[in-house]
Amino acid sequence: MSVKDCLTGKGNIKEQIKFKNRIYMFLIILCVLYYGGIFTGIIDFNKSSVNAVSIYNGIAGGYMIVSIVSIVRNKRMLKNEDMLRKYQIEVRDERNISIARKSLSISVFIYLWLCFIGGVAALNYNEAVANTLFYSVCGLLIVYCIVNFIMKKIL
Amino acid sequence: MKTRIQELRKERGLSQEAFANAVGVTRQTVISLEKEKYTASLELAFKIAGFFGKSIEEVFIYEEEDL
Repeated sequence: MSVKDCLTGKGNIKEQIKFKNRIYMFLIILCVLYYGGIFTGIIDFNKSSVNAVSIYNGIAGGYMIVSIVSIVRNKRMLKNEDMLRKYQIEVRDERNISIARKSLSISVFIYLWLCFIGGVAALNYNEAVANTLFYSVCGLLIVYCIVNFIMKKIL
Repeated sequence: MKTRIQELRKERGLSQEAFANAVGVTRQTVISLEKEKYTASLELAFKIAGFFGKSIEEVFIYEEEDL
């Protein structure tokens, strides 16, 4: 399956599901390595607060559970043609895709404005929070420009 | 955009679910098409017209206000 197929959502549905399973497997391995303590050499958890470590643990646990459930569901789907057909119709239905894209576009637009207004409001109270919000707005706009440029080349 | 999808579907005695499966869309999309809330893409329009054995113009009614 080509990168173009991944980005445009076309191509064989079975190959897409198998590709997703590989990503989920990779996430599971990362989470197992995290719980095994491999990352303690890279990240100094002693500098992190108890809250931060709890969040790391929660994220790793969440990703692991979601990945396992997704792999099991995907494997069942690959064996059952009926389920696969229903899934294919659901994900490739043009109205569903259109709704998802418009929802994301509107959400991002609202989110950007909220971050900007939040950053302006936070300037008086906490400069670090204000900077984070402003940088996230800039970062998203830069990523949008790059992705837009790539999509123009592909499509 | 106005369509004759509901009329043609009922002529053939098809449920919305059966028609949706036949053209590869969800039942909600068929409902939206029949209620004229959603305009099909060119690809889908060709599929639907081909399914009924008619031309696109016989299934989808284009009006100037659609611009």
